[in-house]
Amino acid sequence: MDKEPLEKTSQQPLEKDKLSSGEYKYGFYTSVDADLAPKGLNEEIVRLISGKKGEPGWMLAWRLKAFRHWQTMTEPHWANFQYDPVDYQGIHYYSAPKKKADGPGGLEEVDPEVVRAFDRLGIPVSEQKRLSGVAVDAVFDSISVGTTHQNELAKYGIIFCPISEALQKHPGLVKKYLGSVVPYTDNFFAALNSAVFTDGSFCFIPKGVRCPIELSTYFRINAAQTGQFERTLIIAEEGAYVSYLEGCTAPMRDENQLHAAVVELIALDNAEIKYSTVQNWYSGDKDGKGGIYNFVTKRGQCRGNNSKISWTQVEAGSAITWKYPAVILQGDDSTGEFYSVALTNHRMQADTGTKMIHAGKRTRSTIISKGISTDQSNNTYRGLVKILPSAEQARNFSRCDSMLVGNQCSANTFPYIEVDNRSATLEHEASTSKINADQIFYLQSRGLDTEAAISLIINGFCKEVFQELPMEFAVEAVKLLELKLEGSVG
Amino acid sequence: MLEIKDLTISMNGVEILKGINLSVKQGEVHAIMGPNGSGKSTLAKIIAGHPDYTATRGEILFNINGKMVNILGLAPEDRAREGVFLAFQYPVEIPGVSNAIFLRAAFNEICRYHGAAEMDPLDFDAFLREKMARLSMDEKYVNRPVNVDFSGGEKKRNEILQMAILNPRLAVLDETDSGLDVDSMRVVADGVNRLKSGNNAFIVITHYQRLLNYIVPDVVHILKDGRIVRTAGRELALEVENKGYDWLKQG
Amino acid sequence: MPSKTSTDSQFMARLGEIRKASETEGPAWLLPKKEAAWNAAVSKGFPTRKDDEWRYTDLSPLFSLPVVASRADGGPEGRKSGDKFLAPEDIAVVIANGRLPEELPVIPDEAKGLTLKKFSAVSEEEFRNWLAPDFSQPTDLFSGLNTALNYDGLWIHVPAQLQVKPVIHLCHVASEATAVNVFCPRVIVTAEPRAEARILMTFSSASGAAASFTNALTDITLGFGAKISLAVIQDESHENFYIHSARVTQHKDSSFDSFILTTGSRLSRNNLAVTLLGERAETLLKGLSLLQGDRRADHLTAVNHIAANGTSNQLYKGILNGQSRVVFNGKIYVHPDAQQTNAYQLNKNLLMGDHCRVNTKPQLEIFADDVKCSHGATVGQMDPNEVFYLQSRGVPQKTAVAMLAKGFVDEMFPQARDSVLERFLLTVNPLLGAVAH
Repeated sequence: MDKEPLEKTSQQPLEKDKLSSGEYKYGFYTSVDADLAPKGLNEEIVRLISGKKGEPGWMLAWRLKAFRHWQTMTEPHWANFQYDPVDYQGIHYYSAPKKKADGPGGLEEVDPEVVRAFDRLGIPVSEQKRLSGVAVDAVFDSISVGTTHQNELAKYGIIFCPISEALQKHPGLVKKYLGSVVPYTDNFFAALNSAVFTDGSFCFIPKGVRCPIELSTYFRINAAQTGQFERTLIIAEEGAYVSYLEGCTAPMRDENQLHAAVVELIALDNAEIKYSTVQNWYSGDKDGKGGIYNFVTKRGQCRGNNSKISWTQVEAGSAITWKYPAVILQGDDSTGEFYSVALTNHRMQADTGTKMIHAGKRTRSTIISKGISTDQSNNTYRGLVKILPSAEQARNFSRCDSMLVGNQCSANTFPYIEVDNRSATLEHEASTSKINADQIFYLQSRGLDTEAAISLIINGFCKEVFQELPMEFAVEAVKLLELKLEGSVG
Repeated sequence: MLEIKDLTISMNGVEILKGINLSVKQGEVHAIMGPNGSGKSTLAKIIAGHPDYTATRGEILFNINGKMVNILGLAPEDRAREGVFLAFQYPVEIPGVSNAIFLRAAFNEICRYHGAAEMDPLDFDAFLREKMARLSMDEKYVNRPVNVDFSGGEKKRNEILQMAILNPRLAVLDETDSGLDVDSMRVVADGVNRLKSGNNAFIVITHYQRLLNYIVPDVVHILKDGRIVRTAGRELALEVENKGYDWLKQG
Repeated sequence: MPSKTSTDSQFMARLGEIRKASETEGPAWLLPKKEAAWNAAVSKGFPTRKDDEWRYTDLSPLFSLPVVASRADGGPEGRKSGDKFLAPEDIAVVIANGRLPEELPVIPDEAKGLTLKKFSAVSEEEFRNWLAPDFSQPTDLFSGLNTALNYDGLWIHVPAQLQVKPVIHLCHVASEATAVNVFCPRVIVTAEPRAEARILMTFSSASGAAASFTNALTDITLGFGAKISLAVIQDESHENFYIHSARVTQHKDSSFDSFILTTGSRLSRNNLAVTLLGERAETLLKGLSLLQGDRRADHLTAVNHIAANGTSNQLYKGILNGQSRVVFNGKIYVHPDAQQTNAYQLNKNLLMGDHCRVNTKPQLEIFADDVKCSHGATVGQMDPNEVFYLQSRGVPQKTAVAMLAKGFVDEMFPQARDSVLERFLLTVNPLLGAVAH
């Protein structure tokens, strides 16, 4: 594989540490030596990626099938977006910071710049500095650079590692579950991801184990003109429990970058998976220049009876967000939840929501979505609740509220409700309104300035979602919202 | 402390306040009475800086650091930080924002403005609970969202609680007695009386005189059709109670 | 005779045959419109389920309908079969098998000034002044087909200030016993400033009537301060295919309300688009679907708030028995200039049958910030606790269910009984009785 045509580059560093008026504090670029695949996508690139990871033959075969299928597909355009076409041949599909030496992995071999970058993001990856109570897998462009707490977790039989490592060490498990919830035929971006995914996290919680700490992955796009295609697979066996967190940032750049992830969750009997995301990819400047195109397929399957999958997301970044975390409620008495805050400013476009597919008896789902649009952004909730004929006594409750701050933004609500069983009970409520002027004045008359008042009101508006987040994440989310609202109001 | 001069407000071409003159000194309690639609609430709101109202004439002078400053140009939050407080006739509900978080944010804003140290959550919690106990407010209101699902009386107590915490120099109570039973009214009045000192002043706006049995005014003004038509001592309130407002001539 | 696997293009070809019979009928101003509408329809083709607006309703059964041209006189015997909805005090026009009667009713003195005219009698000048805008609107396929295939339309004009007291009743009946017909009735209502009128449209089929395809188009324009009330009852045989598109344009301070009652049929589609073009316009849309067996009903509403201070309210309900299926697809659109809009929408469905299905898709598209908009949707069974409560007070179970179903429906009706409501109850009461089996 050494003969693969790799460019050795030290990319043009952007103005290092450049921060624009406190708007996006993660916009810095880290100058590192990188292994960079040539631009463009073809079978050679798929083979190259698979080869880089030393994957088993079946994995490469699967990737190639996905790639060939992808070639037959066209990019979907039903969402409420306007954007320049993506040039799939104009981006690098693999970029990895170079290690100091060859040999088995280890954080000491990672470019110290990369470690420093994560430190700066508040995500220490070294075991010495690691956060207590949270295991972190740090993904930098196409590869995982370090995963903390692995040894402690192993004592419980929990596997938490980069998916490329899982393919080496636990190929049976990966083969059994990968693509079982999101087949590569699912949609254009899922097919693309299946062909070229580079890294992501693999979590396996064995039967009866309650994962004692939060597991998390931090995704960082660093290199220019690259796409990030991560793949996450989480399996909770019978009676297992895990809470998983995901965070994302990228440098500020004038060009758009593609991020197309696939996340699959599988919960067996009585298992519970809680998946939380704070998405803060660079969203472009106030004129809509630059930013990440975030086309993500996230789906969980409550395969076992009485299982539960809960998605909580705070979507505050990306130029374009196309994301509908779904739950397939297969097992009887299983539960699906979706809690979402989507904040758009500048010229961001978000089209996000969820799908709840009820198949099992007495399955329940809850959807709480809060959309906030400011500046000239466009914020859409799109969701599907489907009650199949087999889903006796299924229940769903949905509430989608939108708030408009400023008069050049827009908010849309497109729920699809399909009921094919008479014993179902569904309730859907949605509202759209301006931020309430009486509330602002009331808070002002108690000494808060307009910005603080709006921030407080919006935090209240989002509270039902924030309280679903693990504590540290909730604090982060509140800070992130405040930061995004700065300068957007007044 | 407060000097209102020729304050005139019109909305959609109609004058609501027609040249109000009012002078309130430190340590005084003024009552403003008047029939519905006389402009009482408008006066309260413009003192606090409500954005719906703009003065077409006149000024509101308020003592800031020993100088009488026209506060009409000040943002509502700056008036609050300077010590102006309005107890709302209809307190606003703010879903999702807990009472404690709101009160601490407001209190600390004012501390910061005056260069004082902010209070940490634990100290503030103790401070808040003590004030609430004095107003016989149940502790459950600490973490409830501001005014959401509060009864009418609870909302009014919550206004007085905010006043007790923010400790203003000038408090305007806009029909705080409306919708209150006698017990609640006593609690509210007690809250005002406890706060009263030689350094602050109160304007009590009310439709009925009964509140004035508990909060004794030094001066009573009658507002009718946008004008103060009579100013006298406490006895004026009793007179109005007996005779109504019709006997008072306009202007 | 077309086969069962007939495609949409074959169906279009059959419509083309029918069109030949009427392409030279009508006034000079109309002929080029018909021609253009036909050509546009042919090039557009039928929508498929990939179109979001047709996602839940499959048109393919329509395509196997062996439609032929209808009799020119509409069948005089058919004019009687709409009797149950007729009331002597109305200004009634019986539209039998898609054809207007030879003579339109005489306008009573109390409605003096009201104009009812066939398109064939409308002058070029009247067309330019009143009807032209409705012929230049962008249309969907079925509205275009209506224009292309319509034999003669009806123009109702209410002059300024006139309050028309009697109900204007357009009574559509289908009575052809053997031939399968396509009916394309067209009505244009124009109301001048402060004019007021109530319009009732009933669609029914005579017993023993063959299947038919009704493709109706109704345009209503409300001038400044005008008030128009539209009531529609579709109570046809199970075999019928029915598509009715109503397009409403409201100017300043006008007020429009509608109530669509449908018992469903093989295909029953009700398109209602309201544009609030002037400030302070008010709209109230109500719809009720009472479905038995395997009947279907599909409602598509679009309320477009273009100007400020408008108010719209939508309330659509469905009671479903058997294997019936209802679709509600409602859209509220608020234009950036439509500040201080209040727009509400509620869709409630009661599931009574073992295999009934509901698809509901309420949508908000909001581009103005100072607005209050909301929608809600519920799907569920009758609350067993409520049934039990009534039973525990001695009411038999079936009666309890019927009472609760009636309660579900009743809140849609106004308090005061009037002659239009009586007509509604003619259809509603027997069905409510049947709901409890």
